[in-house]
Amino acid sequence: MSETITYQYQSNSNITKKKGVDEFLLSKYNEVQQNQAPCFFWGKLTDPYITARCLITLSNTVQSSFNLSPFQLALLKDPIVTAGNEKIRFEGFSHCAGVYARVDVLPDGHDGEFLENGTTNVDFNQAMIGALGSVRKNEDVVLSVGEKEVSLSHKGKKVVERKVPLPTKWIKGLTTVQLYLSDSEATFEMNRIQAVQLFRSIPKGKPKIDYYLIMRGNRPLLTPSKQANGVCIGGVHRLRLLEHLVPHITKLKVFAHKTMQSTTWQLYFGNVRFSLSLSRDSWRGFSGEGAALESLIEDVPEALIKRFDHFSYANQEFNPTLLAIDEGMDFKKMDNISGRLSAMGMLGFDLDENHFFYRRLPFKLNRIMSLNPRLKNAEKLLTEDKVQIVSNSGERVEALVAGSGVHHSVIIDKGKPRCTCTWFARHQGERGMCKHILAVKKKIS
Amino acid sequence: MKNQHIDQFLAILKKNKIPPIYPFLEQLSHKERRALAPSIKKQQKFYEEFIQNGNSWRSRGSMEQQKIVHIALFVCSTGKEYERQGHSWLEEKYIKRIFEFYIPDWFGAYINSRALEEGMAPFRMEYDWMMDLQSKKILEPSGPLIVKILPQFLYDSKQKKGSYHRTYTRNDTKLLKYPETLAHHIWLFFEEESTIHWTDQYMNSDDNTKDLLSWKQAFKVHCDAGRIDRKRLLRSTLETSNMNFNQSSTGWFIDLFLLMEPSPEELLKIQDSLFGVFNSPHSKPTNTVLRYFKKLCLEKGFLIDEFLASTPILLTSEVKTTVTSTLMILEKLAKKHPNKSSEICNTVCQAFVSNDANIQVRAAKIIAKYGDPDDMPLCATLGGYADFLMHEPHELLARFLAQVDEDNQIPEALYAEVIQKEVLSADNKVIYPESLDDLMFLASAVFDHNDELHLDIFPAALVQFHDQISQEQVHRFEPSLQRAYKIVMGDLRASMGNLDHMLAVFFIDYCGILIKRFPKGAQKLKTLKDFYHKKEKERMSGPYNPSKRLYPFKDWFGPGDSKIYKPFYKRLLFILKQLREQQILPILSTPTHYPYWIDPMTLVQRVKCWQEAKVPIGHADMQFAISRCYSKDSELLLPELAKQLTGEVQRVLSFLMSKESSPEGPFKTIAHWFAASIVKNPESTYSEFSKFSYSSEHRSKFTGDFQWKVGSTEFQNSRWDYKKSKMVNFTDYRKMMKIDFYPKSKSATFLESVFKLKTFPKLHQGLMLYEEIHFRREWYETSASDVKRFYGMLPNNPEILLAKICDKTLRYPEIQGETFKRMLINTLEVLLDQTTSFRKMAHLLLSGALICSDKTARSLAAEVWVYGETHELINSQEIGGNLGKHFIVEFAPLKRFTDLIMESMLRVSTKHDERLQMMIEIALISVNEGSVRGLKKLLEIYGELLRRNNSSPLATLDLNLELWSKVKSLSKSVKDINKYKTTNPIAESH
Repeated sequence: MSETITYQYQSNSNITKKKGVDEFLLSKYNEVQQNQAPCFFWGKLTDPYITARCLITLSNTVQSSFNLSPFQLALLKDPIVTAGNEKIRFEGFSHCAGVYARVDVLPDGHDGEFLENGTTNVDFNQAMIGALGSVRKNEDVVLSVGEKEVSLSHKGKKVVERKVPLPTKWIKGLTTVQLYLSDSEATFEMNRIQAVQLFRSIPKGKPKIDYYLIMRGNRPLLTPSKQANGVCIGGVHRLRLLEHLVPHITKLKVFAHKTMQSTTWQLYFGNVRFSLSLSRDSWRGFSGEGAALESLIEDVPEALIKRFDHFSYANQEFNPTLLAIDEGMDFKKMDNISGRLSAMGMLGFDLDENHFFYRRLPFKLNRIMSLNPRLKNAEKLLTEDKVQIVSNSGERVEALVAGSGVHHSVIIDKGKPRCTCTWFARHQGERGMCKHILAVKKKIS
Repeated sequence: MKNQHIDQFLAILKKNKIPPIYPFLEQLSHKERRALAPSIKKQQKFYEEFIQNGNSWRSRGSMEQQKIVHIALFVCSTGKEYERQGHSWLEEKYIKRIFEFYIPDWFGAYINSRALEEGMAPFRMEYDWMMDLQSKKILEPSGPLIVKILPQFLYDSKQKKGSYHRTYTRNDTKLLKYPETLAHHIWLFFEEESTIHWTDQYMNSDDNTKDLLSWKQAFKVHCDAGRIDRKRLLRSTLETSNMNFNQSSTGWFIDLFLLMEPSPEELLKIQDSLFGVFNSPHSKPTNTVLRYFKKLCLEKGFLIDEFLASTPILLTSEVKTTVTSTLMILEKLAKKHPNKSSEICNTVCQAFVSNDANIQVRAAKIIAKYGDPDDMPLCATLGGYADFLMHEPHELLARFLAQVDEDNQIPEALYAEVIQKEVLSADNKVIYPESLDDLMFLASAVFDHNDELHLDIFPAALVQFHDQISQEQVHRFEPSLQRAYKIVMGDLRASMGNLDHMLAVFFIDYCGILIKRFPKGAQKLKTLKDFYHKKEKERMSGPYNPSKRLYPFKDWFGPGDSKIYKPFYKRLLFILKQLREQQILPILSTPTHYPYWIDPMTLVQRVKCWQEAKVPIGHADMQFAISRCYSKDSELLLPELAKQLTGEVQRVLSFLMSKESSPEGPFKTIAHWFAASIVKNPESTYSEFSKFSYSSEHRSKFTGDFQWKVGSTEFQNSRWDYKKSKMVNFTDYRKMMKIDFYPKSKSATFLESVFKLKTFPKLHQGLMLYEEIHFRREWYETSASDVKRFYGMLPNNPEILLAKICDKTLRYPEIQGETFKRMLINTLEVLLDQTTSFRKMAHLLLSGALICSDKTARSLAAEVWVYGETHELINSQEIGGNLGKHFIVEFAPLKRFTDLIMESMLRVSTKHDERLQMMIEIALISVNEGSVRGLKKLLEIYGELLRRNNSSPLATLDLNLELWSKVKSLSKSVKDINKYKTTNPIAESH
């Protein structure tokens, strides 16, 4: 597998004025479905001013990095767009894979036609972002995801080519974050005034400690003191990415992960939504978290995945229960399937509608599946026969796993796993299972 | 054949001459060149290797030899290979010579990719050469490459003979040499970030016209001559503000825009680009455009609706100039367009999220002048901001606010009632391991400092399960023993403290006991032990005489002479002895409730176990237990205590738990008695203890009731004297908060001392907890991570500890380093769990933290204040007094405090507002010697609080207010305060 990914676009994305209408062309590229669908969407944006600002913020997120050197910043990764089911969603990750941003243009946010449905990379060049800044409120803007009519000069010829190292963290983050979203719940809701006030109080600089979002009366507050009802935010300065959007919102919702491993800030602008998800800390990317690992232990029939992939369309709601009934499968087995599909880059999660939706990441599947080193290490432990099951009474499993220089005890008691290794000792399972537990689980499954 | 080429190549290298390499490479076929490549790489490694040459280091090969290798690499490598070797040092002349016989197909892609990833253009490429290569279709230059090369092209340089000094002149005609330059290349500067903004920064000109060297002048010259599209230039300049360029680069382009002096007509034509600037992350572009808009807004073609659409981002900006300019423009628009006044006034409301009084007044005046009090939507919008309004804007908008339904306002009825915190509740009960499994997993997690109480829970659990550990189970300690060894061998994380190290050494010793007990089962532990001892032996045999890392627990030594670790050490030493002797009796001092409390009844039961086993209790253990015992309302337990326990320990605990009782002798464990007396009531002294050696010490040494002062102190400083060309000493002054830890007690004469000693030999016992609170002042300390556990040693009376922390962290206006910052933050965090009333040192620490130099610590201090007032644990007036003493000497900028009030302390609840008013009043009374910098804002806040609390200023403040009314900058604030001077019950009451 190549260590680089090469984006090949027919042309640069751009905004051009034609007959008083701004044409906003997003040039697309998909390494899986090359040139199969020249244009996914073509139509007017209902609120171009807000959509443009959301896309600028998405671009800023994609260009930001909260733990890497500026050199790596130069290796820009392009966001991806999913068009279909009357919705257009733009997704992107910061370079450090610790901030995930998504713009959802809802059915009333556009007036156009979906010529095809699917997911694709889109070229986000700086000139286009600059031009987006001058989109005005009452302007007519036509969005085109992919070129509707491929001009003769471009036909069959890749005019823009950008090689970047394989964005491993990025792809892995995209798959993992969906599971975090599905485990999050709306905790606070604010109006515009409250949100503006809150964002003005974000501490200056790059605080290293955690902050807690609390409501004191009707007043949202960020405090460094640990609060029982507070939402824990590590690397709070990352919220500054939203500063320019907040004055325009109608409301803001904060979704917190059940064990505070991430927070999602959803901004509402009527027909457009912007979500920003922050990882537990600025030095921790979603990519390093092991949320998806457990789902990957049990194998799901390949045929089912293929069928699902083949018959689903972009942004279609994913209902595991219905799928289980259709396929005549055990409900227990279906519990893991959303996690599995999400880890394979086939599902996204919509917090507002509280369901998964189908979207196939525009990267080769074997790229995505090769991204879980902890799982690979667990498999290695099994291959090298380092896992010894001491007892297994169904409810309680005790095992010894050979580690570096010592043997670790793994006990899975009533489904609750524990291990004596340093990773588990430090994180107590909050950052996913350690390789020893994964190996034991795989062995007994 | 192959060897022959290698030999030839080596011979060329040996000759040290560059020219023969060209014909040699030219005659080789592609296959032969590829075959030679590995040998070239080998030679590259050899000739580029750094070797010592006398006292200096240099490459092994000469400059010529290195060039030969690079020329050969260029010709024989593939693109990927050449990219991997990293260098692009060949100059133009060598490349040109190579191109006479060979042009690699990867050259163009290589140049463009290096330009993207590196700061400099490869091969020191210059613009002329680049254009030449382009004309020959060898290179299709990319944007990043062009913007890297083009900036230097504008200049001619010359060097005087015999001088290194180089002078530069701008040569605008050079830009006309190639048609692409002006037509295409210069526009790339507006899309790709470049160094154009500082290219001329280090250039010297001939005639001191450095300003004219800037690229901005070149743009202007060509634009004025019609060679650059002026409209495109103006637009592109503005668009750079959203191109993610850095601040100085963005500023440079805005300066270019200003230099172009656009006319109002031109500005009106490019309004869409001007509005786009408001999304810039930098303030300079926004403020520049607003400056233009101030003049432009009354013009006919000005897009009012577009401007109003942009105002949310402008009015909520944290840059004051942006908000002020926007308000000025809105006022002009409201005046000129009466039909839009309602919309404008609605927009103006957004400025009220600002804490700045001037901004609020300005906004309020616009609404008062152009708004209609009967405009219900406007009043409703205003209602949303009512809670933010300060007193003057509130007055100005009284007519509008009268219309507002109270439900629309942000309610504030928080913490109106006193919330009593239950100390010993089921919610905060400490959870202990329930099985051997739990203990194993606790053992592996215990050294990571995940829980402050692990230091207590783990040894207690070891004692509890010591009997249950079997030959078959003991090997499960292997991972935790490995972790402990790793820690003592140096694998300490930043969050770990000395106490974690102490616990690791303790556990290693305990595993030693297990190895002896289970020689067969503990074989794995033994192997681990042997491994690390071998490692230690190897380390110790090294040349630098390293200090020992593996030693028995009894030899544990903490950081230097910090006595505070001694009680912890003594306690663990006692537990280790207990385990060695198989005494399975409960540890007395293990907390039962978070954060560090012991339920008195549990303590009684634990002591009973010891008495029944007829084993003497641990000296340090018992003192920890006394110190952690939550004895409030424990009088009810006295009959049970009398029934369960006997002897001196029963009398000590009875004394501790009863409110009024006096100590009953005989006193054998005097340290226990004295510790109990301090826990019970630090203010009380007992005549029964007069023979104790502790009684002859100054009482404050144990209670923490120290005197302190703040002011300027003299110290000896030194500086470089340029005239004398040497360092000279001089007397300097610095502000300092000093705690008097060693108050002088009335000194006795020598004879008196001898006589007293003979007649009353003092009773003393080693290790009295409150005597050990001492830690050395060092610049680098690990004790910051231990602070919470220090506090946990004496939760009933942490005053001495807090005094020491104050002295370490708040002695100077700036906190001295990260360690002390962390120490202060950890202390404030622990104060958020305090359930007993704050005393003198706690108040001092809180006051100091409210104005300290670290923002996080200040925010935490504000939280502690909110918490303390909520639970009625603190006295805001005492804090006010402390702050006043700091303010009068201008110990720290007052702005730190006023900003903190606005962010976190104001409007918490009515009660908090009242207490805040009291705090500020007392602080203001202390500032009785004229004005201090930043006082104006504090007076404004005070006025605001008077309005909110419906209160009037304190009569004792009259003199100060009169004094300040004569100060020009303060007179208005004083006038506003005086407006509230009416008969007021609250003022009377305090």
